[in-house]
Amino acid sequence: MQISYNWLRELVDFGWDTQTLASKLTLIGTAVESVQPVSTNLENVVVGKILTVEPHPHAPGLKICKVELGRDVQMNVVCGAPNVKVGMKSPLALSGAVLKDGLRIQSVDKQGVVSEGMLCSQAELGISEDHSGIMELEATAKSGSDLKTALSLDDVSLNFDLTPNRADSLSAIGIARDIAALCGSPVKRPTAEIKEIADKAAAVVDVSIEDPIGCPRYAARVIKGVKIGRSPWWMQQRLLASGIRAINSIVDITNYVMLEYGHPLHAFDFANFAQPRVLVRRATDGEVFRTLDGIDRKLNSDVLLITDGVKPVAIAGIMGGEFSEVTNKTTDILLESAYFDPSVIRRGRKYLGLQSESQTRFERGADPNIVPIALDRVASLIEHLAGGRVLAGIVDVYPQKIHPVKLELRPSRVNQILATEMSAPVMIDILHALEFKVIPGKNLTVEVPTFRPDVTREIDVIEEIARIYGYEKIPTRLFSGGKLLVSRNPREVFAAKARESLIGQGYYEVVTNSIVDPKQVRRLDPQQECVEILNPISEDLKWLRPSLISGLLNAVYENISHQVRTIKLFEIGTVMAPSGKQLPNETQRIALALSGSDMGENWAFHPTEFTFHDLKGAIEGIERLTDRRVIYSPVSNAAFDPACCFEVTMGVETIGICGAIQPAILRAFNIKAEVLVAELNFEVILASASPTKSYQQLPRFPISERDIAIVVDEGVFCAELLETIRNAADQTLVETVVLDLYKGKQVDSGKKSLAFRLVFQDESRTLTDADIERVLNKMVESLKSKHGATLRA
Amino acid sequence: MSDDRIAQIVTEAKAEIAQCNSADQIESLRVKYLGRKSAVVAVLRGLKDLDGEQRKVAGQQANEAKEQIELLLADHLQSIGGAKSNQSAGLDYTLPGRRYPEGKLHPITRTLNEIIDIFYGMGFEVALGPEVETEYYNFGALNFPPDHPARDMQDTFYVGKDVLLRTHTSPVQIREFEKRKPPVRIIAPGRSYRQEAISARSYCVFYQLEGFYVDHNVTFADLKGVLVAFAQTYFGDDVKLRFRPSFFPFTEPSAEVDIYCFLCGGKGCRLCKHEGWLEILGCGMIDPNVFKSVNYDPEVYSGYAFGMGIERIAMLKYRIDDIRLFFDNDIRFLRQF
Ligand SMILES: [Zn+2]
Repeated sequence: MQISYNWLRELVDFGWDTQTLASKLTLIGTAVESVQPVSTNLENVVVGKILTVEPHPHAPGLKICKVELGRDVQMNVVCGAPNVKVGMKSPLALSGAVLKDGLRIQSVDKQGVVSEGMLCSQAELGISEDHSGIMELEATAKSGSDLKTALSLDDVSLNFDLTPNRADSLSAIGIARDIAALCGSPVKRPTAEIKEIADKAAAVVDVSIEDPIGCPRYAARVIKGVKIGRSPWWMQQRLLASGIRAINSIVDITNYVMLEYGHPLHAFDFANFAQPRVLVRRATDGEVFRTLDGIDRKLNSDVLLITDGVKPVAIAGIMGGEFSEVTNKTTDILLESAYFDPSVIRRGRKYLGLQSESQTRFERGADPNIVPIALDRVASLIEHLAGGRVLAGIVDVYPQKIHPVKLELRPSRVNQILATEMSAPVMIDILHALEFKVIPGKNLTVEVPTFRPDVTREIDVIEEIARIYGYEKIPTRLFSGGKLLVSRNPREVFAAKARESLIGQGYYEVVTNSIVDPKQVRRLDPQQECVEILNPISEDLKWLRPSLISGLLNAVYENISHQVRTIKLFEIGTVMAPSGKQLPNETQRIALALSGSDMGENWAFHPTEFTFHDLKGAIEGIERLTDRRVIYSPVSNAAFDPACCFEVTMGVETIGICGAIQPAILRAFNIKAEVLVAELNFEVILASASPTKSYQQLPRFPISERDIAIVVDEGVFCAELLETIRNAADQTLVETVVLDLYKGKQVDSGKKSLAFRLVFQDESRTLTDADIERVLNKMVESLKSKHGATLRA
Repeated sequence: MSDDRIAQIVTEAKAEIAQCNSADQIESLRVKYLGRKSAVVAVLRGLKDLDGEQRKVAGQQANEAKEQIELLLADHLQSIGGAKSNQSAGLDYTLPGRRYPEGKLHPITRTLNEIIDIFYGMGFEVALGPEVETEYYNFGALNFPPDHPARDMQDTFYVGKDVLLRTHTSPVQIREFEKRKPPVRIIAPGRSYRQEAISARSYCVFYQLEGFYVDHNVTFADLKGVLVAFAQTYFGDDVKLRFRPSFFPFTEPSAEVDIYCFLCGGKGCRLCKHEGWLEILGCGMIDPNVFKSVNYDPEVYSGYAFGMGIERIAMLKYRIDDIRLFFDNDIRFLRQF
């Protein structure tokens, strides 16, 4: 909402400039978002008086005017406006002025005649959108005077960012009330003097409410014989500074009073009513109504209508109808001031997708008891500014009066919640300034005005007191109780360890969107069932991720496209799967992706393409955080290269999958490089986390090492050889290291050579060569007989 | 061998060492006087044939001589300029170091860790909750009445009837209150969602950290205290905070907290949109209706709650101007933290 600073100054006496006012209001919760001058296009624009108007000799549409700007100063101006006439006063832009559209004014030759300035329309000055002709200024405006001053455009707009609970502050008086509470001066309310004629409104209009829940109160006045024209400049200026476009005197007046009191009103062209009556009812499903923006809207029974008993004339509280709109031909007016139920307005707004100034105010909660006051204010302004005869009386249907809420306030409770030492009189002063009535006593009885529908409980009143008292005056206190030492969340602790392990190995942590593209998910697994968002922001962000892989592949793509050569990524995140119950299953997973080559960015290393064993090394880092061992076994999965796809098992549980992503799938992610991926169930790993280990005594006797190299068929797995070695050895074999793998010229084709370093140690003595030879021989025999191994010299 | 003989060997060694002028010469003297075939080692080796007192005396003398000669060798080597290490051949010490590239934590994790550590030090436990929530936990129990404009403050993704992606981590409040009795002091970090088009300012996924404390006599002053302590620890001791009234359905009174713009010192700049203040979090005293929904008696207990956007905090701290960078996962961005 936007309100003129000058308007606020008229309503309450305060001595603050705009910036001070803005920050003071912000600190009491009436937040000012920005402060801006009303017009920025009025430099070098003055009031000009047109002395003569002559036709242009070479251009039929143009006229040559002599314009006076101050005593004895005259200027020739070429003008094409239809309404230019002798004696008229109009804005004259001088050399140096910059108009709304960016045009810089200077002397120009207009088909042989020099024009020294430009007479301007409202639109050209950015005052309104009126471009029908040059702007006509009031006769009293002084020629040559600065236009900003002449038009009282020396004003500033305050832009408010108000929270939805504060219905009371959606008006100039509402803001003034907060200012009054801050500075102590009262709000000066406008008056409404009406000279009613003898004819009674009740005789010409009948009002009935079919839905008193949706419309608890409907009041109307009838005004006859109005002359629609432009509203006076002061009103247009106020509307302009408040961000509302001037239309005609009647519409401007209803908008003005809406801004003033916060109460929306509506004026109908009464001549267009089929019957002299107002009937408020719900729409029927499928009923169609053309709103004043010319759109045919299909209604349903959530929508409340104002009708004349035959046809609808407005959507209650939201928008008027085209048919009953006030136009320049209107003479008889039915003025509506009503109170509509917030939730009915909300449902109607949601169904229609239609927002308006009026709807916002009704939805947040208008004041049922200001209905006649606002109505009289509009009627008096119309009488004074647009002529017309106001019929006697208000036709006011208000079957069940809405009374102010009364509640009890314990001053001790205020101080208990806020940790303050406020006295009851201080609280009462604040409440009075906000127009709450207070009946003193040990506890205060507070009567909440009906313009504060948000205040219904003691705590709400406490907040009102706190916000005016000032949050900055509430003390700051550190620690009142509770235990200070708390244990860390084990999940977080373990995740931190896993991250540490991977970062130490050069992996970057990524965070990817949990809302994923169904096409990508289906590409990875055509059978995948996912949790689907019913109201997605787009078709490609529609499913909750069932796996971290698609997000990682997108991150790999992002990096490849920026020529990053070493891509080592991991994510720990939640995945979702339908559970058949109300909430889906959520589990945490850890996933890794590798692409490109390692160690490529340092002269001292040779870059090596990532292989499956790089991925396995990272998984081993995580495995070491647990007290269980990981086993890999080949498995088939359409997303992976069949030659490099393994199921990962920890203990007896399958925890995930790893391998090389199928190139055909990578293409769907626009990736042309090879990508290795692992995805593991973090929950199982977490459940297997090693408990705190106790120290193991360091061995007292030296180790002895023996290296052996054997040649076996290429198809023999390393793990089988290790198992044979293990089984042939006794407990003195403490470690076996796989030193080397060789295939090539030095061995026969179809064979490979593997070298092992065997580490022997005994707890109670130094081993002799003979001890070791005995074990070693047994191992070699075993390797020969089980795997056809030969020793390599 | 007599004492004199050993003393003589030491004297000879001393004289010969003094003549050396290269590391190689010194090394050959080391072999001559202390090597396996040297006189001193011969004495040490012969000790096992001696008995008792004699053995003790001879051993001591030989060891002393050995130490003396070692010292003479080392001193002289030092005095002629020492020996060359293996590092010396054509050393270009200006080549970059042989560094094993490390990875990095994502800036969101890093920021979360820093914030969690601060609250952990103030006695807050970490609790987590599901990202897909029911309407009840996300709205109803948090005093968002149905058909109330407050619900429009949150643009919500739905995945089923009354099932949605949580719009804040506040549902964890309810879940923890249901499990525990006061005092309860908890922070709840995690992913939240908003149904909004992706732009430089907004992403459909974001991280939130909710904190809350319920006990006897928890006041607004305690809320201010804990947040001032947090801000001073995280942003520096000279940070200035501003609490201004706001509205959240689950707190009453509610406040928005701003910090004094550290970039311009409050004068106004692009970072603070010329306001001099930067909004960092929302907070307030827990609404009695929230307590009622978990059967805590609001007359017996009171509490505060606060919630902050982690991306917002990280963007302020690292002056990041586009929220999408967090989710692009470009290593050139990630490696900067
Ligand atoms: Zn700044």
